[in-house]
Amino acid sequence: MNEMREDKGLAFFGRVTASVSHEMNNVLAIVNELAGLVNDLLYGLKQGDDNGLERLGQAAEGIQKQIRRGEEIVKRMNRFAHSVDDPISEFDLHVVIADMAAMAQRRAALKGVRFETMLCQEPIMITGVRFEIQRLAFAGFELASSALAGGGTVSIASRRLENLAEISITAAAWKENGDVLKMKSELSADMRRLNGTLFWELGTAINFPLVLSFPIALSVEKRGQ
Amino acid sequence: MTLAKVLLVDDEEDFTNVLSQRLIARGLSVECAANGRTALQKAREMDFDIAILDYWMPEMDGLATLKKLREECPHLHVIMLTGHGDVKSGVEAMKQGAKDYLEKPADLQELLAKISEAKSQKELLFEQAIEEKINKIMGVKGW
Repeated sequence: MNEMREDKGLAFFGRVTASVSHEMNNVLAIVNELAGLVNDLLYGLKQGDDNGLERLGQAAEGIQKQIRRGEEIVKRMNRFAHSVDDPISEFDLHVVIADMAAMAQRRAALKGVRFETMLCQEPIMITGVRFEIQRLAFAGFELASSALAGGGTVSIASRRLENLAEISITAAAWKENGDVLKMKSELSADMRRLNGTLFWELGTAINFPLVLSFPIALSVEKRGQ
Repeated sequence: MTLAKVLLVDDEEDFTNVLSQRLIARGLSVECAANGRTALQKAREMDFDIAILDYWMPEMDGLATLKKLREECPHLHVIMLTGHGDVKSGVEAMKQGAKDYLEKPADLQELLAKISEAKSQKELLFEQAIEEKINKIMGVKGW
């Protein structure tokens, strides 16, 4: 059972890093072209073509824009990489969900799917196994993207009640073909297997079981006080 | 040799925007498309020598676009752009009919050399086809 869990964890890690490295490669490719454009424009200026001055400024702005984009990618990747530092840690569920949605977006876009995140402003602080909730959220995003066969929008929303935090992943025109049913069944099995082991409030041994319903609602419910 | 007419296809519009400026500055004629569907539409409407396709694109990826372009515009030469170190995708693209592939970020001189080579090959094939037609006509007429 542990081996299967490790295999799934590794496969998830591989998918995320592949997606992020592709995104980062695009940033580098654009910076590479912008640097080349700067050289072209400088050559023109040396030849007495002053028209390039304005475009030189635009190229510099373009480089700064890509650097900001790259910084965001690296920050997300860094938070993701450190999510395995401690088996159990305290984290903001919103940050985790937003990070995973951003990292899953590229793979979803290949299927013509766009994510729309509507997370509530209030942080949802949770103590638990961050890596597993990331993996489940990512699996949920992939499932919703696959279920939107012809492309469309996946809405990711959160709500916080007194003892309940819920992340819902919904998609209009949900279609369940063979692959989608397989993914759904794997995610359900994962949830059953992990339920009750994902969340604890440190020191007081309060359990926070994870609840799954379809289309998809990942709920963290405070019980057993 | 006339300058090449290039169709540049990538969903990263900042990338196509800057690369097209650099290619145009070198005298090439460039049209951009942000996805496979638009690329196909432009290839139907205009005559291009070369299409430069990104491998990873939303909806219709590079391979699917390549397949469609090969069906509809068999004389169009395609150069595939793959991720850094992604030789496997490049080889797969060549198996599917791409003339060549380049890893992103690409070196402009290398890209220009590949465009020039593809353009020369296309012109040579065109001349050969004309020559064959002339020979056929001459054979029929007994000249």
